[in-house]
Amino acid sequence: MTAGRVLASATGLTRRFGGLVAVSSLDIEIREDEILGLIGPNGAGKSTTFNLLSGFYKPSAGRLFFDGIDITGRKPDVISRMGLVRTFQHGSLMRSMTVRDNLLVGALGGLRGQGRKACERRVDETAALLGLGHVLDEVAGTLPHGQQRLVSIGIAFAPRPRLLCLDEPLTGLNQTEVHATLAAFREIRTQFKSSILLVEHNMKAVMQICDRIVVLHHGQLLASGLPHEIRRDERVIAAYLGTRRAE
Amino acid sequence: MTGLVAGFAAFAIGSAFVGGGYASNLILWIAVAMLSASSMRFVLLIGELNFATAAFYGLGAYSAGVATTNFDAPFVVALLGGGVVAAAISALFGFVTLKTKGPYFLLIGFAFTEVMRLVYSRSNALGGNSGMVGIFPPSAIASWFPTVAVTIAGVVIVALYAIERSSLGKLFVAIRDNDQVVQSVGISVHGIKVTCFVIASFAAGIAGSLHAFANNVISPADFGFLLSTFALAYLKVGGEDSVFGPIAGAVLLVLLGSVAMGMGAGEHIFYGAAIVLAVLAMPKGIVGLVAALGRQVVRRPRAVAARPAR
Repeated sequence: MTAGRVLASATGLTRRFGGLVAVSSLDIEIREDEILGLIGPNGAGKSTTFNLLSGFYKPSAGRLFFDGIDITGRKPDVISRMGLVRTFQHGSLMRSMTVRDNLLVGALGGLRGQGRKACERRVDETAALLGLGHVLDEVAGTLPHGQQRLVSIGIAFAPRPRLLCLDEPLTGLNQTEVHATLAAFREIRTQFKSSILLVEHNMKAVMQICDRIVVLHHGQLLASGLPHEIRRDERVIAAYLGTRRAE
Repeated sequence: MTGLVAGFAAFAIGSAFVGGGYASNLILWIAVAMLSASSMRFVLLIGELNFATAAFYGLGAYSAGVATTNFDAPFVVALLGGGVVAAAISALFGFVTLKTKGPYFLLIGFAFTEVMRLVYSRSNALGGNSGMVGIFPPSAIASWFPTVAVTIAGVVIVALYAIERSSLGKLFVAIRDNDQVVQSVGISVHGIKVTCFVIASFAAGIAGSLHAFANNVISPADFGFLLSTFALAYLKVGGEDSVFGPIAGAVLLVLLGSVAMGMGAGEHIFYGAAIVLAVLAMPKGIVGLVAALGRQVVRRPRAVAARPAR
């Protein structure tokens, strides 16, 4: 069990869309130096939570903190500059630009005003971390799906955030690519001391890589704990497979 | 980049040998047209079609006019003043309106152009409907003003291209591709869009200044939305993907326009038909067509042998 300092947290986080409550009174903590999994069936409110944390949605109620500072209602680019960067579920890259320029955009976000040289070094370092060195001059939109996913992660990690929020980064990857991506996540954590919040449907990968897991269901916190605890949790199994399984 | 600079140098030197008369006048208007179309293309880098190009062009022209006739300002001050006034007002306009996108932004630009036209015509200080007269370049450069105009347009277009290739220019294109991702890495998308818009409006203002000095007379009717429509035509006919597009489009359409001028009533039909044909026959513009032909020539030996039977 990691017992690091709290890096980001939400208290009483709520978001309503008209009559629908997508996230309801959610309390969640992400600690320094940990990989936290956020799982739940479709429609559980994972993506909404993501959009709330990164400032793309404004909460209907509740407060958000990052590094001890209240960030409730701040703009996405402001939150990002504080060190919380997220990816998007679909098409989180610039399709018409080369991989190098895609990563450069991320580097420019993190290294504002530090010159082209520093940005180029950052691009190379990020490409090496994700194994994209040999496709730097390819146009991102023409790459195979798996490599496009890696480019998305690269853009988000190029600013070197303290908390990297990844929205289903493994979707559509083959076994080898999943393996390589998970290795990159471990390096991001150990070498760069960044925390990761991971929303993912690939349960095997989530159980393998996460230090802790939080389970959402109908916009509420269903369970949280270590991977082996979550795996055996009756409520979690019922939420995923339906209640008859629990009979 | 080197090609662009060399091209403009050649164009400027060549224009000096044309002498006076109709041909040199055409060169002058080609230079102005290139610059307004390049300004419109620059805003297209962030994915917005800027129909306020005419408004900032007009602001540049009127600023140069006021500076020259009311204040006797030196040529360089009046010329740059046109760009600076256009840029300053565009900062305010862009800050408010660039929160909208696509058709909304286009319509606001269109409306702003028409509002500015009405402001000029209602303003007595600016000469009302009849406009301003007597905006002359200094006599020392008057005789080779076309060369001056080509040089100025060339410098501004090369500067725009240098910005396009810089990190800032990459952010423009990144915003066009996916503004959410740009914002997610901590970049103020709105701030970058306004920056792009201000730079483009400076260029449009310079084009307007050149227009004022070229024509010596300006009136509100010169700066209606039709001017933006022409800039768009230069851009589409030339090809918007390349910095050479607005240049090629301006050369072709201004030349065609001068041919059409002698046709009397048929002028607009001829000119309109030329634009329609050009856009249909060259969806990527002149530059796209040339690039495709270039590829064809390179590939031909293999392509003939390998072409599948359909």
